[in-house]
Amino acid sequence: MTATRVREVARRRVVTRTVPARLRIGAVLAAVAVLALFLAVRSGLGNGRDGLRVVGHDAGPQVVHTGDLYYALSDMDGQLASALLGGDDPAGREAYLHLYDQRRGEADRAVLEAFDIAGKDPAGRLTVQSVLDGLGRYERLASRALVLDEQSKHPPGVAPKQVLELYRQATDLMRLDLLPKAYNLTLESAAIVRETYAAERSNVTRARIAVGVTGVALLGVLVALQLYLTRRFRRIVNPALALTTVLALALTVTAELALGSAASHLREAKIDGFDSTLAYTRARAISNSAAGDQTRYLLDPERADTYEQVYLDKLQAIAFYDVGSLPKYAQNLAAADPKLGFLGGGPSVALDRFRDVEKSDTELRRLAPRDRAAAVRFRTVNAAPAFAIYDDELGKLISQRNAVFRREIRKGDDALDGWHRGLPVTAAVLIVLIALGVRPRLAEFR
Amino acid sequence: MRKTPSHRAGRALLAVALLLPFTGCAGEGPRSVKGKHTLRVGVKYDQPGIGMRRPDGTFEGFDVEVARYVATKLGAKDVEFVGLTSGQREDYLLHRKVDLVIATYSITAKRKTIVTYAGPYYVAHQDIMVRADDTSVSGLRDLKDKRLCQSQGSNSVLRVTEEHGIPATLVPAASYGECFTKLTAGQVDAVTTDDLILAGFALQQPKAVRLVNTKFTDEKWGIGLHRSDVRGCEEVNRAVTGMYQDGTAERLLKRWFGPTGVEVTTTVPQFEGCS
Repeated sequence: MTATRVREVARRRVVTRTVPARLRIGAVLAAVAVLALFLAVRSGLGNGRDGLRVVGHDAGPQVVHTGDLYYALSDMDGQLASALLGGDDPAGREAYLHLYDQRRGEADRAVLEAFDIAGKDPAGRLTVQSVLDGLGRYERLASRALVLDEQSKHPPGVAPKQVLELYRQATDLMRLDLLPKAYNLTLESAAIVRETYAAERSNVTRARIAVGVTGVALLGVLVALQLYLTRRFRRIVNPALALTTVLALALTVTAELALGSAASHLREAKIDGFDSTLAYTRARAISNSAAGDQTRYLLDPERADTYEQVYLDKLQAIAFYDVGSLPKYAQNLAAADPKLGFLGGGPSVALDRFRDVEKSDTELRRLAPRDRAAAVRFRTVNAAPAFAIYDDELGKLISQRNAVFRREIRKGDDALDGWHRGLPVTAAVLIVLIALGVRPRLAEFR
Repeated sequence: MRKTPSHRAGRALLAVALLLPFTGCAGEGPRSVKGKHTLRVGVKYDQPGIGMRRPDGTFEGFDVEVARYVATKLGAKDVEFVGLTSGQREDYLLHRKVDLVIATYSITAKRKTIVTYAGPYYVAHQDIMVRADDTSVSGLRDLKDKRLCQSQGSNSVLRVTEEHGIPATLVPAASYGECFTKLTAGQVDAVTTDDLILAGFALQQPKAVRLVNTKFTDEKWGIGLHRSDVRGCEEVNRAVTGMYQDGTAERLLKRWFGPTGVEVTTTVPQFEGCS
């Protein structure tokens, strides 16, 4: 080492050893720690908001809208089948067609909502668009079937061949094209909720650790600086630094609490609200389409076998029993609660109402081969009302769970409210206070 | 240079805090078909038009092409095909000997308790095939007291005998290929299973057999995944949606079954849901 170099190193040591230099280093360290805390809190808030936005305001509500869409579409087809099945009973027909129109209005509104939320997702938009196109075609077929049916003046239960031909085209379009798309939209939104929820939960947990560590680091630097000043300048407390320490502690603690609260509300919203809303929405969709299969079973004897098979298949999605035929299914349902399926996992009012539906279906299928007119009457007087009660129960469960979902999302939003302005201001105040705390001591050396 | 202990601790904490956001979470989630480099797909090896092993050991058919499409959408660079019988499908998924099963695998409530189903990628309909000169069968109920072929591990025959309670004499066979041979040889009177499967066989000897064209069930052909792979299942559903939206499904259906005249549905089926 040369002599100049030795002198140079010695000079630097003096520079870092002097009191003002150490003060400056301490102040800069504290400011950097404030910045680190600021970034950690900001990223945590960003994660929390993203999770709440996707789950609470995009994909979550989309499940409800697309569920409404499925329900309205499926019931349109069900009401059309009922109107055609009713034959020349003008009062009954009027009631069915009134409901048909009501459902059509609901379907239109649900399509608009779904399209709105599908927003940037091209596959989703394409699907909603093709549902809208298909709905137009469906309505043309439906009105032709209705006109032809009215002209034919047939007794209940025996629609003429040409009417059935048109209805088959309509119902095939509905059941094979439109309803699957609506249902798949619900499932896709549910998939997005599941993914977002899983990702955001680990993000928020990471952010909370980061806030904790940066908060403690900042407090450590501030305390060290305070101790150094106390020893060096023989003053007990530096008021500005003391205030900084208190504020930093408050910021860390409130940020932790806000992030924790947002995360726990998101969890409640997902587990207590969303998951059950989704399950009941799917149960209601599948149930409604099963009720349609029951009507179609009566309306179209040629396809009765298929409608019976898909009916059983849907029942097994709602409440699963390992059986291969409807009579055995009915026996099992009456004897024991299902373990699997949407209504599986213990007794419930919905399950009891479902049992009533199944009981009336058994009777309807007993009547049908012997006396179709009696079976059609039985459907109107017993089976359809039993289903309406069950359907109402599911509708009630959906609104209850959805209310929990929305309440928890709102609480989560509230927990993060105001931070976007408050956080930068607090960080700036902390840095100014650090400067104010150190400046007068530095001035003593000028 | 002298450092106070609190200084040192503060710096250490600060360093940890600054590095923390970058460490990420490298933990392994449950294994998913999403993102695998090579996908092993179980397909049928003895069903013409659907899953058929060629003499050179490669596979061809509708299911095989669906598998290729889905695998590409999942990001796989390579697909390995494994020939399966109906009876092997659950076992191979359960023990992860294959990643996906695309093998005319009907989704049933019972099977759903064992595997996770993406799709269905197609809804077939059960139909009946008889010898061309047999005019005695025109519907499901005409199968009463006929000799009906039962392929091992398949539930099609139960739809007739159990669900609809039609008494028929069951003649067991190892596969639908054997059923088809037995039918043309006069050892059974009818074979009943999904229309696309029957159509595939009919293509081999169009003059010897005929389809009754009575579609009495919906058969949801699902894509089987390991029970735990919900994420993979959702991703497969997206692939299937794409397959219908971009016209691939229609093209494949027309290509493999167009010549048989069997009616096909070219819009996306209603998915089963991944959980």
